[in-house]
Amino acid sequence: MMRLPWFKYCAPKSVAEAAHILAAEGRDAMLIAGGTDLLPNMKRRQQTPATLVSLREVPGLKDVVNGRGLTLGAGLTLNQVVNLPAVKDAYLALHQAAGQVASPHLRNMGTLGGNLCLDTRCLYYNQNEDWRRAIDFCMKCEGETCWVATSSKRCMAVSSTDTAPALIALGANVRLVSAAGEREIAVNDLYQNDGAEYLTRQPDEILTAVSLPDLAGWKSTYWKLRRRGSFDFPILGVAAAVRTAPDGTVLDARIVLGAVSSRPILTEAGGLLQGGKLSDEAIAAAGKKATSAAKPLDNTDLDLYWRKDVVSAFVGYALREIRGDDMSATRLRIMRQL
Amino acid sequence: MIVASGLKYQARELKIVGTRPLRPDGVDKVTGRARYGADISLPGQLIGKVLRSPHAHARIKSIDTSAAAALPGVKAVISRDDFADMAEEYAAAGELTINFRDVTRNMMAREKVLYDGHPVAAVAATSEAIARAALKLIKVDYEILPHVIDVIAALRPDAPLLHEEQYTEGVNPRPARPSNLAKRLEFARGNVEAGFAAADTIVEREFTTKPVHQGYIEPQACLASYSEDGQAELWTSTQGHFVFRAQCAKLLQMEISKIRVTPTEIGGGFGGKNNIYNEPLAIALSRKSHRPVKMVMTREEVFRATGPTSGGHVKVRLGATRDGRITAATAELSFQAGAFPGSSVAPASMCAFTRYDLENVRVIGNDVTVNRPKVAAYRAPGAPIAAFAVESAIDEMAKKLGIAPIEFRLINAAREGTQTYYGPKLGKIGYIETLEAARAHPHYRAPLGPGHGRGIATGFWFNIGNETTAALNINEDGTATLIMGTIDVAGGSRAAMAMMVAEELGIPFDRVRPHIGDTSSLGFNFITAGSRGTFAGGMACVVAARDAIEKLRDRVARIREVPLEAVLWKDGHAVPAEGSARQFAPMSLAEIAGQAGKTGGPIAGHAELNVQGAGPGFGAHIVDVEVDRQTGSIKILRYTAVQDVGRAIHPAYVEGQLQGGVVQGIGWALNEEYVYDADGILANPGFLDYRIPVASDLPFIDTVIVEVANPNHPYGVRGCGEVPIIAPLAAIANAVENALGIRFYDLPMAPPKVLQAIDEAAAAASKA
Repeated sequence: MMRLPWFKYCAPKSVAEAAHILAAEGRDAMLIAGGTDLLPNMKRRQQTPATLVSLREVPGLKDVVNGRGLTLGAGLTLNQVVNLPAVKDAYLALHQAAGQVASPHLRNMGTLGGNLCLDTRCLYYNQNEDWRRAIDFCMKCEGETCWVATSSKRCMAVSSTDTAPALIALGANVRLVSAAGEREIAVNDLYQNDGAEYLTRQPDEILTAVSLPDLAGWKSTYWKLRRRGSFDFPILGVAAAVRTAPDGTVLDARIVLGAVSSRPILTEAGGLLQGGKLSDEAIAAAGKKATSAAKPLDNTDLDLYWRKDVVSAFVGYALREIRGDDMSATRLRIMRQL
Repeated sequence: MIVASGLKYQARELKIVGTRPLRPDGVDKVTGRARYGADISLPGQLIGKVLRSPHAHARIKSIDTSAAAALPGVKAVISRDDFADMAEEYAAAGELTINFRDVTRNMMAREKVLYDGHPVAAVAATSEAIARAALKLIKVDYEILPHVIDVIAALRPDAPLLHEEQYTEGVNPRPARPSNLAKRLEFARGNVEAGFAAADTIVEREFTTKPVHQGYIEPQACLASYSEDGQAELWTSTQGHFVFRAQCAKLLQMEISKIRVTPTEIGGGFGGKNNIYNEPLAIALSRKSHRPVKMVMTREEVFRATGPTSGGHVKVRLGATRDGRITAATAELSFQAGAFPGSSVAPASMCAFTRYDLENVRVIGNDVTVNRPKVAAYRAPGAPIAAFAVESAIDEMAKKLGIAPIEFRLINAAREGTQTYYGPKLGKIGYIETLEAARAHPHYRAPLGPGHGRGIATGFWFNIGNETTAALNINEDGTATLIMGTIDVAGGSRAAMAMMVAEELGIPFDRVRPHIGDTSSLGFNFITAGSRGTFAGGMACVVAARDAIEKLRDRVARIREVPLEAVLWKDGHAVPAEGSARQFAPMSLAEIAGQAGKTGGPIAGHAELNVQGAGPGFGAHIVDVEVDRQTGSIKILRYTAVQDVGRAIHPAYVEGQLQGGVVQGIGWALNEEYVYDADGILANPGFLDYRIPVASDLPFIDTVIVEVANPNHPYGVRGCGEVPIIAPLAAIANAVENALGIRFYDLPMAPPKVLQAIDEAAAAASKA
């Protein structure tokens, strides 16, 4: 079996204390919550932090505040998020996205904040140290070259979080706290299109909470594509949120793609829908627009051209579901769950 | 009592065989107490790790281990220099044949490394961290050579050559040049040219399959302790501890009696644990370090350097008359053997058409070396690959002729007395009964939804017997301890053996405690492979039980002072023979056992057999699929596996075997494959990227057990573990063809491939 490297373990009792440790330890320290992403990576020596700062004993990170909108502590496990009625009722896309991350065991450990900060993935990166040494490492970790696109100036690893596309579609913000202060930014602004530096979060910042706006009048959904009905990372995620007038005219729409780039992509397809009805033609046009935004590469499961091809179908599934079509049979067939 | 090779089937009323008691190993497994390979430890043990080749093909110019040996905590370093070279010498290992010249080179590279993951050196150190650090200090100077991964590419004249001295066996005259074609086999019967000339319709197709791994959950793990007097003890997760002992003795030039192998609980094998990997290295490291050495593979090592089964390329040609009679059948199978010769192409060739009663057949099998790990047996080795091709072609032929697929098979079905093209005539078999049971199943007639498709395919496997031993000790309180020499490869054979012994002795099932003996407690047992566990192992257990009963009767005859023939054994008691003049008070097993010391000593039964007369098994599978036309994703909606098992000793575990085989077949058909990059490096050596099916991808798999007793087993057992993996590949391809009107010739049927075919068909249709 593969074993963890040595590290120092800190278990602060408050956000302030955790922020203080992070500030003092600098880039050698990393935060750990559920550990479902970080610990396997550490075993493969993709990350070898000298210090792990655990958030497990920090109070308040599991708080749920239900006011105007909903604020979720970043330390809630994915299953806790799935089981919150407030999430299921008003933010269905998040409920569905959190419920499809990995497998039940991992959802019992993995947290909402952890899934948002999930490391980007690549066939040339998610390998053990010896394997990576055999290819002289890669741009994301210890190497010079991106083996997916050898002329690329940046790392092309894939954003594989399920909850981020959903939260971007839902217009959520995240709170980032450091020893120097705190700030709140849109989830969309948490990411940048670089597989190595995929977060705008600074190393000394702690993602403490996710706040969702009041979305009365909106409907949302998340569709995940993967080879098997459980356990696999997404090879495509489509999150959609739409607000319609009583006559069905689209007032607002956001369509977000996951796993087809180094960051979740808020597409321009939503804008196309504004002012019209969710007709088959409008849905097809939105699918086409979203497809043009997808940039899958040959570094994850299944053929990359196919992964681009199916974007349109998935956007269609999502929008037809929001329109009120009964998509349960398709959902069951594609995602093996409702 | 004298038993030459076994006992014949006798129909009789049974009390225990056919029921479903809990398995003797069950509680330990669900409580986590069961001890698998990695759970065994000894005081003072070292951890052994292997340095593996990072290249697909390279000549080893030099190996410098001095820096590693000098690292504090490192107690031994070994490489090719620590093992004797071996001459060509063949031996049986499961269903495949091994050659010690190659085994020693696969265990530790000598002149060249031949695949990514090939062992080059090994170290033993006081901790795993030190052992890993030591591996990094070993300097290997490689001359990188061009490599070849694909079986057809490997057969081209300009292909990189793995073995410079490999001249194709089986062709006359011997080829002038060496090649990657290690061996060519041919099986023929009748006149295929005349057969095709008599055909009204011909179907000719080519098929390919990808290598897939056995995917057992427990990685290989062993612990070796070599003592100063030259004796070695080995604990390992294996399907054949006696064969491992023999191979280690040969490779390490030791006497067989000086090695004792204790098999641990095994977390799956499926043929992948028929072969030694780390075992001789662990003994050699222990010999050099004077400490016990434990070696546990990582999952990545399992993928890179053990298993898998062959990728294959199969050409099939079938001819049939208008009324559905097959007049001729030919096939050419080319199998990847991996780095060394010895793929499953031989059994695959023999299985290809042996579901049908054919006059004119020719099958050619090519065993091809490529820069991949040496293949191992995998559940009915090779047969699923051959059946994927042949059963797809059969389906296409049936459709062309307008005959229902089961009817077409029934017209041509093999039956008792069918002459096979590879040798024997088939004895009593249940293929027709299996097909008829499938046809009678409600699934066969259930209405299909729109866009759904149903497929049928069938499978045949020989099943085997071979050397088997058992000992049954009658304890003082009338319970019995059964020592068996076949491994319970997790299918529940301990339960089945104990059930047969309890049935024979006439005592409750839980009074028989089965135990798998180490290599010092019993005579030689062949590997538990070829579905022989419950057939051959069961035979030995029954023979041992009857041997013990003879002795029990003899004791009672002496105690009661009656002739032996006046004593019968019935329901756990010695009773007077009906109508005998010499009546006496019956004695229970416990009463006899309690007096054993005073009446001649402990009582035990033994069996040392070479079991013959294995009964071939046949399966017929029905599957419904739905294809998502927008993504190409295939969903299995319903699955029914029908199989003749001879006799199900423990029906629940037989059903489990059928279901497990189907699941592995579904993975092979839809998802699983080894992915290599351009440099011949395995890109998906882990369960996250090598995708075996998970529960959410599978329907409940319905099973129908057909029981056409094997006449050569006292309870009619045939064996059941391998047949169920044979049919799924073709059954699913046939179902997809019925759903889409598109036939797939290459596995896996992954969504991109399916969607592309759907799009191409739509484009062709719109043009037309």
